Order: sequence, then C-alpha cells, then structure tokens
Amino acid sequence: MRFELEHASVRYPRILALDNVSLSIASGERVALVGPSGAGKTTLLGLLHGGVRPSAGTVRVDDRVLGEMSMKDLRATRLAMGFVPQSFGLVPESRVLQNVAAGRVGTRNWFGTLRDFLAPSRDTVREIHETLERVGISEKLYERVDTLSGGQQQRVAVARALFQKPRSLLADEPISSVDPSRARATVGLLSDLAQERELTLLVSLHQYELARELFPRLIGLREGRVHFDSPSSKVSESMFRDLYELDVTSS
Amino acid sequence: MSAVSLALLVVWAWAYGGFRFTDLFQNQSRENATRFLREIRPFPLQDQPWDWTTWFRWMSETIGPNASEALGATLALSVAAVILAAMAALVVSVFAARNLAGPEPFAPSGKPPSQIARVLHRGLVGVTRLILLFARSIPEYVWAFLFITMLGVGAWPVVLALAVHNAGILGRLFSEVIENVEPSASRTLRVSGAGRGQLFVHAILPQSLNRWLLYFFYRWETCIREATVLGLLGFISLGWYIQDARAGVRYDEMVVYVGLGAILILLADLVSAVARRYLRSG
Repeated sequence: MRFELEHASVRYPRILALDNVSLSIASGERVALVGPSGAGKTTLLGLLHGGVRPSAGTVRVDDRVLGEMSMKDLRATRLAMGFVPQSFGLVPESRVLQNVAAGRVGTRNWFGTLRDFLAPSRDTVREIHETLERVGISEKLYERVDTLSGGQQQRVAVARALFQKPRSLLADEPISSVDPSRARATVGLLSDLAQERELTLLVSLHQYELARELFPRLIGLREGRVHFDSPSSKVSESMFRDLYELDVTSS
Repeated sequence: MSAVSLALLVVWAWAYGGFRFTDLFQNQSRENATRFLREIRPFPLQDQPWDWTTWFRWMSETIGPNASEALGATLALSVAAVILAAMAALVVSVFAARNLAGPEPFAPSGKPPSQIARVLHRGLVGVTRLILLFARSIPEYVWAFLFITMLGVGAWPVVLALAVHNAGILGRLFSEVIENVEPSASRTLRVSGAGRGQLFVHAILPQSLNRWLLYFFYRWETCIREATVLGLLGFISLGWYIQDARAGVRYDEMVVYVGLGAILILLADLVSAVARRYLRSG
C-alpha cells in the first residue's frame, strides 16, 4: 500500500498540527515516525487512515485521493489498513474474540456482523485463535478485554488489525505503555509481521535505538514539520537528540 | 438576588395558596380523621376486642382471589409496558444521538458532507428529540385518558399510556448514554471500514448495555407505581380496588390494598436494586 502526502496541513482551532508536509511511502516500506510529543505524529497517521481531514493539501493512498473517495471506496481502502491507536480502541466490555472479529467488519453484511458479535462461525474462531497465537495471547480468546493488562490489550489491538488482512499497518506509539523489554518485543513483532506479509509499516515511537535497528527509514517530526526523512543508517544520534532538544534552544 | 426571589416565591406560595395550618385542626377535619382511624380497623373487629383468628379470616377474604388477581395484573401491566417502551426507545434513541446520527459518525468520510446532508442530519436528530419530548411531557395519566377515549376501558390503554410516556423518557436517556460512550473504539472501527449499523453492534451496544439496563429497571419501578395509580381509571389493577373501597366507604379494605401496592413497589425496588448492583459491578 502506497501513501503520499502533498503539501498537507492540519489546523486545529488553536494549533497548526501539521505544516505543509510532503512525503511518500512506498509499498512494503517500514518507516518509524519519531519526534517529541505534540510534533504531529498522531495527526500524520490520522491523515493516512482518513481519521483526520487535511485543512490543506492532499492525501493519496494507492494513488487515489482520500478526500475524493465515495464512502464505499473509502471503507474498502480503510479495510486494507490495520490501525493500532495509542488508546488501543478496544471495546472493554466485549471479549477478546469479539474485539478481534470486529477487525473484519468491513467485509461483513448485516447478518455477518451480528453473527461475529453473538456467535462467530467455527472458521472465524479458528482464524482468530491463530491470529492471537501469532501475537502470543491465544489463551485469552474468551476473556473480557477489561480484565487484561495494558500489554495484553495492546496485543489484542494488534491482532484485530492483523485479522483485517491489511496491506498496511499503522501503529501509534505502540510501546508508550510497556516496559523496555516488552517494548522491544512488540515493535519486533510488528516489524516481523510486516516483513512476513509484505505490509507497509508505519510506527510512531520515541526510542532511537529501536527505531534505527528495526526500521530502514526514519521520519523526524517537530512542531508539525518534517525535520529529517532519511535512511536510518544516516540518522545520527545527535540528529535524533536535536529533534527532541530543539524546543529548548529555539526558545 | 436569586436567593431573595426564591424566598419571596416560598412566602407567596404559602400566602396565596390559602393553606393555613389552623385548617388542619378544625373540628370537621378532626372528626373525619377520627372516624377514618376508627373505620380502618377491620370491620368484624370494630368495637370488638382484637382477635387474630377473626383478623386472619377477614384478611384472606379481603385479599382473596380478586385482589391477588389485581396484584398480578398490576405487575403484568408494568412489565409489558416497560418492555414496549424500551424497545421503542432503543430504536428511536439511535436517531437522537448526535454522534451516531451525525453526518460523519466518529471519523471523517472521504468527501466532506454537503451542507444539505448536514442540515438533514441535524433535522433528523432534532425531530426525533422533539417526538421524544412530546411523548414524555404528557403524563401517563393523561395519555391513559386519551387512549381510553379511543380504545375503551381495558388493559391496552393503560399499557400504551405507560409505554408511550416511558418511551419518551427512556429514548432520551438511551440516546444520552450513546452520546457519552467513550469514542475511541468506535473511531477505530470506523477507520477500519465499519458502517453506522456495524458501529452500533460492535461498539455502541456493548459499551451502553449496562447503563441502558440501569435506566430500564429504574423505569420499571416507576411503571409499577403508575400501573397501580392508573387503576383509578377503571382498569382492574390495585388502583381500581382502592377506588372501589373508597367509594363504598370501606376504609378498612382500602388500607389493605394501599398496603399491598406499597409491598409490590417495595419488592420491585428490591429486585431493581439487586439487578442494578449486579450491572454496576459487571
């Protein structure tokens, strides 16, 4: 799945969240989005899945402009993107099974939707079980989500995105709420899955080492602008530190 | 300022309303009260020494098959009415919730919605809310009068009266629950390609169900109370027996029926409290 931003800006009532950003991400690329809180990482991911509408500029997915799509086309496009938000976006009162099943809602008609929610078919359950196995929590299939720990919920969110059979995976700070060793495992898992299934991967995070090691390309954001966009081998630690410390020096 | 006007309102109400404390203790009132207190003593025991056997026989005759039937009718009426109300409310509340019924539920659509679409969606929500407001602003008692005029005396006018009024209340409350649902799950499903109905099934329904049921039980309680009262309009429920006993100056029986009504409401309170505690914890 290809993504392209062309002079995209996002203006919220009190802040310019993204300022004239142009970039393109080729199919199968693995990109880490880095930058301090408030730099616009979440907004940028939002532009790509259409959760945020650009105030100016265009967003293209597979060479088609998101803002010109019919609802039907947009839903089809969205179905092909797995999205793991920072808040996980799970339904706490539902079971893991139902939450993961909801990932494929874009392919279901009315009957299929009700069935997935009430009593998914044996094939669906088996497939969900396999997906959960891949992220390492298959034993939680019938647990209610609100009984799981933060780390487990995060893996449910990843499983839901995978169950979509997406062509791209967008994850917003997937490791902000887990300890360092778990963080490594989680991002590693996303990276492995992306390579295994040839997904375009976009992950926002703060960890220089991890970003450099697991992602061939880094995009540094600061105050809504692209600060650097280069192969990770060319991003030095000082460039990375600059990204986070500019605030102090500029003021 | 507002405290002063509030105080003035209180003074005015007491002065203008013409209720004087001395009226409470006039000779006439005192006589009536004394008579009433004498006559609520079971008839066979009036001017007699108290005797439990006689009392028990009188009690079972009074409650008898008729009153227990009325008790059952009151209960059945309230259940039927609240279920009808909840079903209607569930359907209608979806159109009264600004988030779900808005032009772009939880996440932008591709093309920005046209001005016409915005106006239509706002109109839909507004009209739905107006209908709910209308349904609940007319009291059950008045609805029952209207339905009796159309359908004649029977169970249906009372069921419909309770159902319509409560659908108005539950519809509003249900839609507020929908509007207060934590949006992140709905938003995530929306950007994964879910339609409105699918959002409802997968995200809104499980996140709202508990609170909907809380309101459901709360209104059921009220329905029992109201079903008793509406019997005064001629339908055979406890209220009818109360009315009948009063008309026949059988205050002793009247007190028993009032007591039965209170017990029924107390039981409903208990069931509802248990159910609600369970729902809160689950």
